[in-house]
Amino acid sequence: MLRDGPLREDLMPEVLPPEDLPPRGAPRDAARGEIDRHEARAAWLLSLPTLVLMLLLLVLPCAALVALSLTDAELGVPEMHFLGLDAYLNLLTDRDFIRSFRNTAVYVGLVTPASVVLGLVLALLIEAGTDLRAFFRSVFFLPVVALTVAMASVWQYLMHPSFGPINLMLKLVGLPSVNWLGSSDIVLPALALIGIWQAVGFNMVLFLAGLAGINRDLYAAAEMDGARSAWSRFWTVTWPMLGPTTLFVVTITVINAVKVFETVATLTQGGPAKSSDVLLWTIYQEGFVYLHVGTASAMAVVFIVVLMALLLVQTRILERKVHYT
Amino acid sequence: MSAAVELRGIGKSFGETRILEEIDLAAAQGEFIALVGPSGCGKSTLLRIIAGLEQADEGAIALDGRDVTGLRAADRDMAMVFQSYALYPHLTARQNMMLPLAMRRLNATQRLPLVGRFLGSARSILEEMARDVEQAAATLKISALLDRKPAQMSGGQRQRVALGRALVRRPQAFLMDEPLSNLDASLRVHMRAEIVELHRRAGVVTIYVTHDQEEALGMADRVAVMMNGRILQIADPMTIYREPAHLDVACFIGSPRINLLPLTIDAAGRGICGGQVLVERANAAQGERVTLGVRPETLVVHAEPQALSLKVAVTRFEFLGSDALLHARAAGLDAPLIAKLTPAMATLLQHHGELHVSAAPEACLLFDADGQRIAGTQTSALPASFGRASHAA
Repeated sequence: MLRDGPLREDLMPEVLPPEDLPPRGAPRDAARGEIDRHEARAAWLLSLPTLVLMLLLLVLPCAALVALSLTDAELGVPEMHFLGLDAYLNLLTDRDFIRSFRNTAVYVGLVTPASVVLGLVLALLIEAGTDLRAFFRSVFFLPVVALTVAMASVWQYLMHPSFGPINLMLKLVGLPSVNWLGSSDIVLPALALIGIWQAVGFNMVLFLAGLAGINRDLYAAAEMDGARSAWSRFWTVTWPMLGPTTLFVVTITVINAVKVFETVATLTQGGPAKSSDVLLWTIYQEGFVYLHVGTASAMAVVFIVVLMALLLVQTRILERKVHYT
Repeated sequence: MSAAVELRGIGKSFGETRILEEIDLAAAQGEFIALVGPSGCGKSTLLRIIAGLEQADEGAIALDGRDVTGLRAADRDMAMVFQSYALYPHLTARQNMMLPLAMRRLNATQRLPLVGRFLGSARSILEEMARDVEQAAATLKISALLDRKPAQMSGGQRQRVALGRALVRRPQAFLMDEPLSNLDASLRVHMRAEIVELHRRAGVVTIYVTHDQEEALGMADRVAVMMNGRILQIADPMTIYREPAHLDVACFIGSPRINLLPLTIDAAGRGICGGQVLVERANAAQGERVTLGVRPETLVVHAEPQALSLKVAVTRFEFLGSDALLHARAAGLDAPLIAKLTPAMATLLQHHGELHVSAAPEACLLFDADGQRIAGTQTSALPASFGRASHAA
């Protein structure tokens, strides 16, 4: 993919002949126009099934969601009122919603950098190692394939305030025990720890794939050019060449972290005192426990918009900097 | 003066596989040496060992008399051009060429982005580096491309930037690993001349790996023919072509391929093929298996049988413009024979279904059963001046 196409012709027309020459000697007469129209019709016809399916499966549900979000619909209540933008203004003053929004941001802010950096470090270590590479790869990938709900019970045991192994070990070295999931200050970092544990393996596998795709000659060239230390080889070759992978890893990690739900639902239920309330958990509560479909829809729309905005920033701004070919 | 690059007894194995065996090579100051051989002969591995990117299992390497066997590539002051060019895709051509200078002339803190340039003498070093890059770019006629990234350049332009990156820091030796094999044919011929010219101007020893014998013969002062991890012969191109030390060298060098005829030696020491005496004095014992090699252009074609000629059935004529090839088969021989003729000669002979071929005694290359050249069958047509610096390894 050449993103800066027009640059070529402006700068050096005599060195690089333009690649896309117009078809030679093709008079745009009536017959030609007829063929074009025919082709256009065929193209629309061929893409029609896909368009219909996309409309039914993707656009309509979203449209329904947006429509519902502008009302005060409740499940089981026959009448509903159109609130318009007030529905969203209400959210702005909804302290529960704002708290869960902030909690989610904190959670994402903890999980993303830690799991990306750790994933990269693990991938580099495994790549540099000679023995047991497949073993380490599988071990670190285990949390990815393990069922979160099932693993949550293991974490509940590990983090149990009185007989959890983590606190027992802390006690062993003379540190005070921590109420991991029961203290409103610690619960978010504790959940983030589980989130990191889940995401690292996946990020590592993605980074390993990225590392495998780096042209070995580049390392040889860097060595010839005088890059003596692993550190300068990393910054000269590995890091820039991993750009596209890193962008992808960060994107995936952010999406997965924003969607945190299982650990909250099984371990804390948003508690204590709503201090681990996250967006999906709040939406779930509003929609399925209190049956406030309208409010839940508005939250869901905000959720989607925030996610889309993040992705847009990443793809639009960063992608231009990390794709070189 | 000591050799610019000297290899003594280099050996290398990858696991059980022996890649290089007993490699000796001495390149004089300013010499252009081509390592040529079929793929898998170990030539690229040898180049990487010279560069320091791989370590040899045995043997020693010296640069200008200084032993560098244990030194890593970054400390050997050589530059390498890779087949894939290995340009950093995230950097512009200018930054690509600047990088080897920055790595060597700036220290780690001066290389830091943004802050580095204000530390110590970094500013004047940076200006000097920029000047060197501009100069190298001008030599290679890529000044207009300096702010482009590799993805925005054609193959030939990337090739030039890769050469520029090697050239810019004026190394002690240039190593090139099939640098032209990704270019199209006409550009390749053009770049050959440019690389030879660059080499001449830089005056620095160049070791050039290629599988293309034409490139090797056309560019190098001396050619080292490698096969199965050994150097079979090192000599100037003319000697390699006319005096191959080994049957494999004779077969690898030359296009179309050399004609091979199995000979049996009779009691009088004559070489016989298909019941016909082809060589009067073969210098071999009776009963020995000897191979006669005759270059297509030294195979003489006759309409009538002659002394020392072999009857062949014409398969076809191939007209190539400046010359023509006669493809023919001799009874009892598997491989077809090829003779290179003038188009006029070919026109004259083209309606014959049957012809006779012979080789002048001085054009006959005889090889024993192990493929070694049999002495005493030297070609005499060689001017004395071409014999310089040749020796069989």
